[in-house]
Amino acid sequence: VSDGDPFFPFHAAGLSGNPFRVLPDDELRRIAVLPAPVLAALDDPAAPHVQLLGDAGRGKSTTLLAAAARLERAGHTVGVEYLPVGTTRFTTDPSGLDVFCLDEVQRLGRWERRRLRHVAGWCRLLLGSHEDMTPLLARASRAVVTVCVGGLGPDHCRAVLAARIAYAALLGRETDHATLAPDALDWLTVRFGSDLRGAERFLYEVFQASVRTPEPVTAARLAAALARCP
Amino acid sequence: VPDVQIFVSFDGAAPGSVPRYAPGTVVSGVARVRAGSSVKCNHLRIRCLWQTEGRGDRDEGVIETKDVLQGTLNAGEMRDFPFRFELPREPWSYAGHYINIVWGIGVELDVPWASNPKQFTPFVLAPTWAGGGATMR
Repeated sequence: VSDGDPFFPFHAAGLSGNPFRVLPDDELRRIAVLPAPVLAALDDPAAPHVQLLGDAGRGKSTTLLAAAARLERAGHTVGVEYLPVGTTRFTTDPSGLDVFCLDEVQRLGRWERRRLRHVAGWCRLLLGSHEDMTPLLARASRAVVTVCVGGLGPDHCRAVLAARIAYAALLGRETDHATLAPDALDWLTVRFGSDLRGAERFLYEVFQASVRTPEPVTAARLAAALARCP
Repeated sequence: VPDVQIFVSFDGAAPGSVPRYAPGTVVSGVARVRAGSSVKCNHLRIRCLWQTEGRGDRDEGVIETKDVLQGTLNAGEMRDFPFRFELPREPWSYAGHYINIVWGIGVELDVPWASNPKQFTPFVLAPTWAGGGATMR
């Protein structure tokens, strides 16, 4: 038995690994930051359908998973399905579900949309989509709450990035690890707007290439990294 | 997530350090589980595995799984579960730019109707080199 630190270059920065590495769904669910409008809709006693709209990379899928997990914890039976590229049908049997959570709904074909509209008559839906599905749900007995994930503002993006870093902190180093300085968060907001995936990919490279101490990463450092690798 | 704390310690390793094992040797230690409140546990599984971390989706290989408890952990109860796994000869631990191979002991409580508490505690699987790299032991 000997010291294995050379295999864990981020330990010196107080981190278990690169905070912006790809995480599996169950870990994403644990650290997802649910925006206030989504929380309000989930906890609404009228139990409206909820659709999350936004372009790719804005955090729809993560938010959807976290929303499904929250309802599951509240005792609801929840089915979750993600429609991969090229898929036009959903395969989950919604009978027996309280909530059906379907991501990338815009990929559904015409007949599947009709089937989903039927499901909406008796099962609560949580939808992630690039396309507004309000017309599809117009005749459902429940109200529809739409949250545009791309328009949640810089505070939400800051909270998401901070949660990623906090999750990577080593046990016992929760207050002594590399993080993003306030000016770095401002810089990221200006550079990437609501494109969280773009910001996370860029930060992966920055952390991988240069973060080896617990000091905060500043805006100047990010700008220099971007200049080296635009 | 139920109120459960999981700690893993490796035999012969200093607390907080990452132990290193040569391929084909044995990793052993203790998984300590402390329940803050009473938790019904369908299974408590201790796994020896490697997983990839980096820019791509996670892959993993489970070497062995031990199901060490099916029952209830009472509030305030702390229990130790020793483990011992024979390690394979590969893949070796690796730290790269886009991919890392991380070996570890994974402990997971399968709890009904709740997120499963789990803990992954890493170690290194890699040969040590002696004699200027001429000999591997």
